[in-house]
Amino acid sequence: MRTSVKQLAVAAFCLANAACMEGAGPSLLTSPKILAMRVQTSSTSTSSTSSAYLIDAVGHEIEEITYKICVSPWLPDEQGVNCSSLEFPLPPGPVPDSTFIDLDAYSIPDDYRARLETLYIRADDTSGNVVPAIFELELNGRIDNPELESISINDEPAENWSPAVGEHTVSLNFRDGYDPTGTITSFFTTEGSFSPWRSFDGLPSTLTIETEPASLKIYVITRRPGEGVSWVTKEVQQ
Amino acid sequence: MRRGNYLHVAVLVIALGLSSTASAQEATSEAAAEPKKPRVVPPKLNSQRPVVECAALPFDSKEKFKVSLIVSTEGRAEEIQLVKSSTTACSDLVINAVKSLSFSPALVDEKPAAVRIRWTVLVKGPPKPKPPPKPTSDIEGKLQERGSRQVLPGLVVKLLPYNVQAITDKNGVFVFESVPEGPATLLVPSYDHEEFQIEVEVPIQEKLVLKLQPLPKSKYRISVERQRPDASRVIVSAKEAAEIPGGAGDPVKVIEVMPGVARVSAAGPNAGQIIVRGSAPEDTKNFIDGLPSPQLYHFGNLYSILQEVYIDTVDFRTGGFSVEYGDALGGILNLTLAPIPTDGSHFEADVNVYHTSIAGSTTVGDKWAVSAGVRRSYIDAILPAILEGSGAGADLIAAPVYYDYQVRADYNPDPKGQLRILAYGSDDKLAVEFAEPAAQDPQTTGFGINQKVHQIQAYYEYKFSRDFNLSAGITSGYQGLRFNIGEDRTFKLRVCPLVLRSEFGYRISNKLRLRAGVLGSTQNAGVKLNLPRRGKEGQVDDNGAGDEVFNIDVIAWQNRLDAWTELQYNPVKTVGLIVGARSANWLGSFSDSAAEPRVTLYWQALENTQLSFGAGLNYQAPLPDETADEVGNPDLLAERSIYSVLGLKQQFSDIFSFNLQFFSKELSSLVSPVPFDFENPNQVPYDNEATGSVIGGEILAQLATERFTAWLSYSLSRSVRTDRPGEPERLFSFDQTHVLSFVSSVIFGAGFKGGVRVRYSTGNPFTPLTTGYYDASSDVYVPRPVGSPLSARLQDFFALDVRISKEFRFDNWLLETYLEVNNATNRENVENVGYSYDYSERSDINGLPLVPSFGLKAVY
Repeated sequence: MRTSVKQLAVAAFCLANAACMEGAGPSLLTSPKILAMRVQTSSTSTSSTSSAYLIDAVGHEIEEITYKICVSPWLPDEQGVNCSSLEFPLPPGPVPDSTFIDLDAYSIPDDYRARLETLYIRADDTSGNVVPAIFELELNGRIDNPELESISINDEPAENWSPAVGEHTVSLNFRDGYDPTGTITSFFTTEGSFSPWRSFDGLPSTLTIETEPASLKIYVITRRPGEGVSWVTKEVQQ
Repeated sequence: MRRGNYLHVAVLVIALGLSSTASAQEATSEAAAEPKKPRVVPPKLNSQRPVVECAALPFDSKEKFKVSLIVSTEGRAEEIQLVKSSTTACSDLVINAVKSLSFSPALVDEKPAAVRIRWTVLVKGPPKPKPPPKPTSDIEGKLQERGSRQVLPGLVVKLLPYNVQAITDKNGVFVFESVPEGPATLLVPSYDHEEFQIEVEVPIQEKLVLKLQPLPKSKYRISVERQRPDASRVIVSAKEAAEIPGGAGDPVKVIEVMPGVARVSAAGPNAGQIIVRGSAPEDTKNFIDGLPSPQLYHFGNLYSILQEVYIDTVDFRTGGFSVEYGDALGGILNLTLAPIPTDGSHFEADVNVYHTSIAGSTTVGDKWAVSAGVRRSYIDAILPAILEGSGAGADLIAAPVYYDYQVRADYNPDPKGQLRILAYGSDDKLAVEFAEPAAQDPQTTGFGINQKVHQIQAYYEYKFSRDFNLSAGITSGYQGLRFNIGEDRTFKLRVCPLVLRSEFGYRISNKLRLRAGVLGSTQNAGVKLNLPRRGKEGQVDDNGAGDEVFNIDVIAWQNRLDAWTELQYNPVKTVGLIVGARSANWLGSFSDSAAEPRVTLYWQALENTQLSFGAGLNYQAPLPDETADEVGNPDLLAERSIYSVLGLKQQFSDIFSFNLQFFSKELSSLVSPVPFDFENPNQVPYDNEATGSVIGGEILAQLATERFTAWLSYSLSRSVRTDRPGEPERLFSFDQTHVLSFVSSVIFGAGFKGGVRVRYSTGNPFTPLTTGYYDASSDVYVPRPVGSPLSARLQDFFALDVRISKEFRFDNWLLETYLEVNNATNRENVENVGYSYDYSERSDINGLPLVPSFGLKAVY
């Protein structure tokens, strides 16, 4: 309870202090970063069991992503982020920056296997200079990745848009009939900034560009907390 | 022999001479035959000698009239002749008076004989007529302090020119009986008030009310303290405490400047947490009139929930306290209740930047006095504007607001007994909804908090005799706490406690006193939560990543039964030994027993020098969530502290004193989180493996003159913990090596008073963090420590607060105004550190800048 009260107090204090607000804003990408990971039940699995999953990730300026799995939470400490139990490397998946998990393929002790409820999948850039990303895969959980299909910019298809100085509205296009209520969408750009950086319920965000860029890349990532992730990227070269 | 008797004898001799002459012939004739001397017995008056009043004589004069008379053989007065007199006007009166006399006749040879005698009669003039009586009347009046209408008992009132005096009784009443009508002067000599003199014309039809103007001097004196079972204790009157700069009139905030108390954050996540001698905030327990209080402050410890008018003293024990109190490893904060005035009706209204409060009291009959008060904040009217201006991007769903109320009653059936009743409550609310998901955690779409308490307590004291007294108290109520972070993470708590407490004191002899008591409590608590397990002190706040979220809905009972006894032995006047023991027993969700022996020794080495030593054991139950079946370990043991305190108290007259104390605490069986072990899935989340120690010294120096008072407290301490056996020792999260507070106030006169508060303290330790990993499931960044736990410190704290007040005093009411400037130097004190959403950058979170505040208080 104390931590939660403390979080409340921090939040309340930040409101009055405004010191916790971000400066340039997190929507502007200035360095390599893994932005999201997701899981899908693998249609390419050769396993007859339901223990096969396809994991992929989206990152900014990432050369190649490698994956590892831990059967307990990764623990951050002074030395880094470590697995305190069993750790396995994962093979590359069928698509770039992906991996494939087939639990039946691993020699997990029976007593461990019986207790397995969650897998902790870690993604690293091969350079080792990128903050690792960790995804919790609930083995009995529901996978419901939002059905985000594309984005529109200024109410036009993104393909027709070229970046110019000014404000541009970036809106989300979901599959027909999909209800985005409860989703949280993050917007990233390599030029300018988005406001808001994140939006509720599939609402749009405004991209503000102050100098005309030679190239620009937009990442739009929609999450349904605890259930799934989808993303759309848009790269424009002048 | 009186002069009158000589005269009588002379007359008798003459009479006898006459008698002998008369019988001489017989004697001559008989002498030849047989010479014989007759035996004569003179006549004798049968009644009192008369005093004749004669109006002809002057008033109150006396005269002697001489008469000649014959006393017959029958004893009657005959042939009365006035021989000598100053006036003839009284002759008849004298003769008549003599005539009425009855004698025993003279005897000659035992035979009655008529003889003539001379006699003196006293004649007096009429009494001087008395003047008619002069009329008188009583004077009754009452002494009151001008403005506050406070009655003034024990003061001398002189009545001139009669030069008599009276002393006012407990109600400030004086009486002069049978004062002659006419002009008179009443004079009240100066003591704490200006000399008062009034000319009156007796009789006075109405009861006088004399209003005395208080002198512009401090009423506070440093008094010699008696030996107490508590090794470290400071008591401050609420009126004095309320005037401390920076406290905005809240007397309870005086503990912020007490020795042994770490600097209390005014804002931020640690706001208002009271850290006593290196112990955790939950180790210090709160009481009102000796009965446990679930809540003394509004959220953030912004203000205490009792109005100043209801508090008599702030009684704070920083350690080494009597066995009367238990279940605490830190300190004991007790607010004693102020008696309700019994001299009529009083009202008070207080308006400041935080809230408005009103309170009123009156007497009901001879034995009851009742009072009620209410207070409401209006931060809800101010904060939305601040948020709008700050661009913080948040909407207040329910702006922060607090209410509180107090209802008091005193029953004084006789001088030996008193019943004090208090009902109080508060309700604090705040809810915020963010315009966009929080950068650090997108699921935090807002937060809300609501805490409320409704409590009633009664305490009865009765003094059977000078040697024996008994008291008993009861308290019960309802406490509720709800908060939510976003929509999913919620916590609801409901607690209904019932506490009974009783004790007695008995003086066995002049050298030996006994005190003993019991405390019983039962508490029903209901908890509903959807949260991860809370972090413990010293742990890195990892933003909740990987934490198991618990969904719990439970009802639990927790009971307690404690008994204590304490013996004070004074072999000589200068030495006191207080030995006590407490038996603590917890039953219910947490069960354990503990024996707490404690001893305190006093030695009055010199007249103004006292040495003291205290040592003993304290035990405290773990927090409820730590022993809950669902998220904790019900087999935990009580946490333990072995303390020792060495003190020196030196007093220099009633102006200056200092109190030096050295203390140490060895903490053991502290609750510690058990590290995650995948191979042991059934491990308990907590055990009692943590230990700690605190060592330090503190000084409290006080100076009090008529117009200047000052208070200096300084603490030097080190508080450390070892979370698990074999792990390195670390600093306690709130360890502050140096804590210095200086408070002073000056009375300028004409109602003006000024004061300053200066505070300095070492910054709190913290664990520096950097980016650990990106939690792609929750879309949050999880930090990792850069160095060892709590290896860095915040910047040192310094603040200067200034207060100036002006009192407008009228005959029947007074108005107090004050202006306070908190952080007058506008120093950017660091209250905490904050991080960017991905922990790549660290920034300081500063405390409040220069904040002026203003207040008005009207007292009737």
